[in-house]
Amino acid sequence: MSEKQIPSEQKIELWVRNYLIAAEGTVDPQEVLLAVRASLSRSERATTIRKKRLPSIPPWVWGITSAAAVVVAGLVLFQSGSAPASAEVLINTAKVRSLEPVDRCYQVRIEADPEVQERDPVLPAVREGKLWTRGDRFYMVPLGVPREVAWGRDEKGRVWIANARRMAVRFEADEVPPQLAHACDLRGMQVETLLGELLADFDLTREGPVAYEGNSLEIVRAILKPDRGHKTLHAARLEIDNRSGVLHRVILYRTRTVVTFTLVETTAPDDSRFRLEKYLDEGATILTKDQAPPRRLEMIRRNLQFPLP
Amino acid sequence: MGHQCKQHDLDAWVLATAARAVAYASSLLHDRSRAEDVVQDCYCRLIRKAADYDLIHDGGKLLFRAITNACINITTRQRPIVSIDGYRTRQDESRSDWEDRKAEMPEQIVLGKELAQAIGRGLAQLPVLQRAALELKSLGHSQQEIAELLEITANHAGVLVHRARQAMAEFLAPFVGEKAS
Repeated sequence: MSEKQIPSEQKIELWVRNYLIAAEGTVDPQEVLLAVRASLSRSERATTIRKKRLPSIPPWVWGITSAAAVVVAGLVLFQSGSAPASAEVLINTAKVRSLEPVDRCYQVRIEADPEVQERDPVLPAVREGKLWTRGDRFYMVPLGVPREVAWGRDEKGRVWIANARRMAVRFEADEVPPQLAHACDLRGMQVETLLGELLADFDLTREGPVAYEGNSLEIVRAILKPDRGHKTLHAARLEIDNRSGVLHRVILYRTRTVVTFTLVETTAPDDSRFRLEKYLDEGATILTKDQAPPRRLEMIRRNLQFPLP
Repeated sequence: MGHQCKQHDLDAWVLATAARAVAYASSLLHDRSRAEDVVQDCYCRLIRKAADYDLIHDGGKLLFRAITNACINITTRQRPIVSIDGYRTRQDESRSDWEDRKAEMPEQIVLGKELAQAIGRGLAQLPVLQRAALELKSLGHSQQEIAELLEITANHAGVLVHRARQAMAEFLAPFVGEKAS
């Protein structure tokens, strides 16, 4: 007789999580939104009528008023239902979803502008990597490089780079060199910041929906407004899951590169994923505050003889 | 302190959170239609007070707290209904009276579906607080956040999650080794 096997705690949580996610798939958020709008509209109408304090009105008049309220609510419902969500609503939805406490994994593809490629043929034309992110935290590994390299930002805002599990440099949040901070901004995909910028400074147009794996995707194109400036970004294309509102793919047209982020996995949060220690063997060297930031940058340059994705 | 939310911000917030909210409420109440009513009511209450809250950033927590409270109130208030067809066994609880039971013969069901049904039954047998705690934990909330959402201490939240996991582990033990994840 074999002993009874008990599923692990992680497995139970994973099963429950998958069960809830499957249940989410049966809910149409648009229907909920319409019901909420209709309910708010009805109660607003009722409040307005109460505030007017109409003198003794026969019951039949109330009947007509209520019927009119229902018609108005119906019209609101109909109009809302017939109009697809605007590009702003889609982006805001994606923004709200990005704040959820989950870790998301994206495949990152960076294509250099042909002109840049011609000027600097040493750089590979296409670089790829895997990015895990949650809010400001991220961890990234370049793919197709000769040894294990990882870089990221932890919950304290410290930026780190680990090389071959033996050596690493780490910068405190207040001492991250500008060029490294810039690299993090470009590749770390801080979704909330990015979407906020798109809403403020870009002209947005909505396309779609287009079919995708039994569901559909809404496409939002963003082009920098003529009177606005941006350090590196001049256009973007977002593909947003129609049902969940989650970003499926983001293509950023930057000054010298095109960066594509494609969502490949979503999991429960795991803080250790974003910490340097996870990517080092015991006894590894970590260069921290004791070394001046320029020296640490130099160490990165010397040890990483290939570009980060 | 007022937060000026535009209509499209609020719409986006509802669209982004609705599916999870309804799924969570349905699981707590075992009644989709009632869950939709509860969720709708919670949204309306929060949106009416949108000027007092930062719904875009904190709305998720407020919404889940409101839903949890409402569902616990309903679950603890409602008395069990005695069926005129007699008492049901636990196995019968997941079946509707009009279901074609032949269609649910185990050999005809893929294992994934069977597991999903077992998870649903397992969750249904938990006391509502344990169920809420385990579901919130599975959705990525920390022990402290669960405590805040359920308005209990962090220790109590930890105990609830632990007991719920134990009960579920016992209940789902037959699936170990049969289904990878």
